[in-house]
Amino acid sequence: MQHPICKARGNPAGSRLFFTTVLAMLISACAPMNVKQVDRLTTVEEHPRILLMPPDIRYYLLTAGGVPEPNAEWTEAAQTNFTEAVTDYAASIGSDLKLADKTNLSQAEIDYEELHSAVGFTILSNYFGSAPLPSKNGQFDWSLGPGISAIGEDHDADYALYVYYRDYQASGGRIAFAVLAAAAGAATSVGSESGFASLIDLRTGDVVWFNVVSSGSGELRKKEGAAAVVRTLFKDIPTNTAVE
Amino acid sequence: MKKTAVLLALAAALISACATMSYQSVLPGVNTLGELQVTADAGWNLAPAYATPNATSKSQTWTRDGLLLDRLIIIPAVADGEALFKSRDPAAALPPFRASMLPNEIEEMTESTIVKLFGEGSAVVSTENLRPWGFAEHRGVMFDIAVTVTESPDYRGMVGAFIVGDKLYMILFLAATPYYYDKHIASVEALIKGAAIRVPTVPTA
Amino acid sequence: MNFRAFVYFAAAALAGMSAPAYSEDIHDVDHKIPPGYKPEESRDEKGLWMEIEEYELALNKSALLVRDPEINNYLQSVVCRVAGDYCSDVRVYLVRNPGFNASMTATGMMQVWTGLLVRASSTDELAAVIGHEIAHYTRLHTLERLRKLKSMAARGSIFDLGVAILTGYSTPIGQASAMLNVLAFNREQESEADFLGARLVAEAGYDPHAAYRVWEKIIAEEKAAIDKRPEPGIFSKTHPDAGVRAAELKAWVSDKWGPPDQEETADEALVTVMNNHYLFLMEDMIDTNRFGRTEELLKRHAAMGVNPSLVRYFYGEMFRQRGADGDTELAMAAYRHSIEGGAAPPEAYKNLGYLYLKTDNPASAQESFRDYLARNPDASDRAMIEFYLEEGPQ
Repeated sequence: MQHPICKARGNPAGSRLFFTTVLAMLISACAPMNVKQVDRLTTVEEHPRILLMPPDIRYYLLTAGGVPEPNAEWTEAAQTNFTEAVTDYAASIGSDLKLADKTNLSQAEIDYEELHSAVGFTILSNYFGSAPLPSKNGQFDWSLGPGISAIGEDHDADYALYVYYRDYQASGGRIAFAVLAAAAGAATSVGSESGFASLIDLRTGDVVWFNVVSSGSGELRKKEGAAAVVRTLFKDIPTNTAVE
Repeated sequence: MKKTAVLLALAAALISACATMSYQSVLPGVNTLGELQVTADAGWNLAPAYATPNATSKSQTWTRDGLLLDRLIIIPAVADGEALFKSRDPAAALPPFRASMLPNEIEEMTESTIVKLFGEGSAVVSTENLRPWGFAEHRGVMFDIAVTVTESPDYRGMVGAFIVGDKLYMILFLAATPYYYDKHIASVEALIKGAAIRVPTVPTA
Repeated sequence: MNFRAFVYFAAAALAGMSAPAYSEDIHDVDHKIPPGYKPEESRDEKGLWMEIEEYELALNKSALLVRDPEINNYLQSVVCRVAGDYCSDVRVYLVRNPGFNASMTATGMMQVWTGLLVRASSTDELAAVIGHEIAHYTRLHTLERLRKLKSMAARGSIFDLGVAILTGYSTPIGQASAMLNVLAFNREQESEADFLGARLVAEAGYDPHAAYRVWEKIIAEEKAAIDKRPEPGIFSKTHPDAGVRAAELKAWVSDKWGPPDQEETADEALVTVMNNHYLFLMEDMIDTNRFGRTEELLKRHAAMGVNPSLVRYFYGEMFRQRGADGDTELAMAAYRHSIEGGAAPPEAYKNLGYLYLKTDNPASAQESFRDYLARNPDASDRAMIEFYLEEGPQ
């Protein structure tokens, strides 16, 4: 019987499922955060205007059987705290942050959101993951393409920020199960947080910054926790407050 | 941390349980798959088997920016009765190639195959601009594809196909829109148009 | 037990019909929730509710959502009539999918697949399926089903899969077909939906006999299917025992509302929608290579009174792609009939032309190809057709 990780679908839509599974496995396996950064500070202007695309944040309760149970209050709290924390953070690094309205996205914005998701997962598996593309030679050159500049003009924004975050909280039953499993010598995931964020230069579509986040970054359901997660998620994000 | 070590080892063990995990560089120049020759420019990567489980063993899948963003599938020597891809699900019913197929039938077979690969009901596929093309001395066809998929970027593509000796040779390209199709189509079109059957060298007696 | 049920049972006993083995009220169950129902504060209910709301938001942007106003108005009006007081609680989405399915979630989101429209012989039948789904909703079966999903150990994960299953959305080849059984309600729930659904249909002024005809037609289609391959997200797979249910419903409906009318008549509304959108509705069906089923549907469309030119064209497509012995001749005859009917799409000429080529009749092929280009001057495959025209007979 093929292991689920090998049971990848060849079709693009299913590949995403495969890559997400890979992400979950890789991230939960690494205690230290897996952070990479591409430095393109030169394009950052004074008071860069950043458009925050609707963050894709979801909280789940991981029940004893391993089935993730979506939790509405946690997710709402996390989304609200996150948006506030990001707004504060953006101000602290001297950027203007605008929020795109989830219920009012244009067709182009939806198309780019979908494209970004494909690009994001590609970066996870082909740049951070164990399957690099030799032709890239270690270079990071993914882009959403210059066509995205129309969105920048519509919103008067220089950059777009996309965020993807999943948090699976272990329930008491799950933790007990994990303890038992460990005693029996089997490894099982207890719960994890994982996410990534990318900053897109809206003039070129280039991914100018990409950060992967794993366990231990903070608790989005609480305000202070959200601030910590935001700092972690946006660690080393290009800013215009000169530190050098 | 012990738990991390366990998880890492588990991940590694599971990952190595799959067949070759890495992408390989495609050498620029002439690449041969059986009798089919294509001329590649620099920048292509050959995808490992695990990443393309629906691909038949004689085909190759190449990508420049990643399989979710662009993919070139080279399928040589499809015999009468064979499908372009394989599926472990018998209910999938991928349409088989028939040596007597005319251009419209090749087009329909491709369209129907791609719908099934993406998932019936998850994707709508249309083809257009069917046109003749000579692949060296062999008459064949080319056409364009558009795929609309739920929860995924749309894909656009181009196909070149010809029949020699009752076998079908096809090169199928799909790339995400916006951007990735436009980024690669010029070089891909050249690659497709330059595909040819290798003239076998007859050994002197 | 209320009075109506008592009367029914007395009548049933007198008529010598066997009583079903359920709680005696099953034929007379009523809505469990009032119009305007919103979830209570229980954690699991609200969390999944939120997921489905997100899904609905995504569905609104989906490329597979059918936005044509005429079809949507037609569908919307049927749903509203059947739903009655619950009309404003139901939001209906028509999705491009050649499978027969309609599903509803606990949030009031209803999905109807285009495959359902091509299978209905009358608006009554469409109303019957819709009524059945609304009954599942007002009896809270949909909510119970959500909870059932959680108890499954199967991982896989990602929220998308879970909700895709819950809402009846299709999944790629072979993926999670095992999870289809999660969509299935239990036998009692299905019976409740059958009977309450039929009552909703009758109360809305549609023909309740359509309720069992739907099941009979599902059986007929399964019989006609050549390969017995399951359709993705198939309605019949998640609604088993079609034969038994058809019989029970028929007995009950006939008893309650009298025998059926002499003939089933397709109403103008449905036939108009079919005629105006036939190519669009049927092209996805042809792509699935399920020829037995397609032929069964074409028979129905012909009987319903859909424009014969259109139906004949798809007979042509079906025979041609099926390619069994003798199918080439059948296909050519069908295309010719379609053309004689006066409303053949240009593709009929083109595909007839290709068949002339295959049957060594290049002169006729050329004539057909010319007719095609004349009727479709913007044909995207002009280059291909002109190639054959220039080549001349081979």
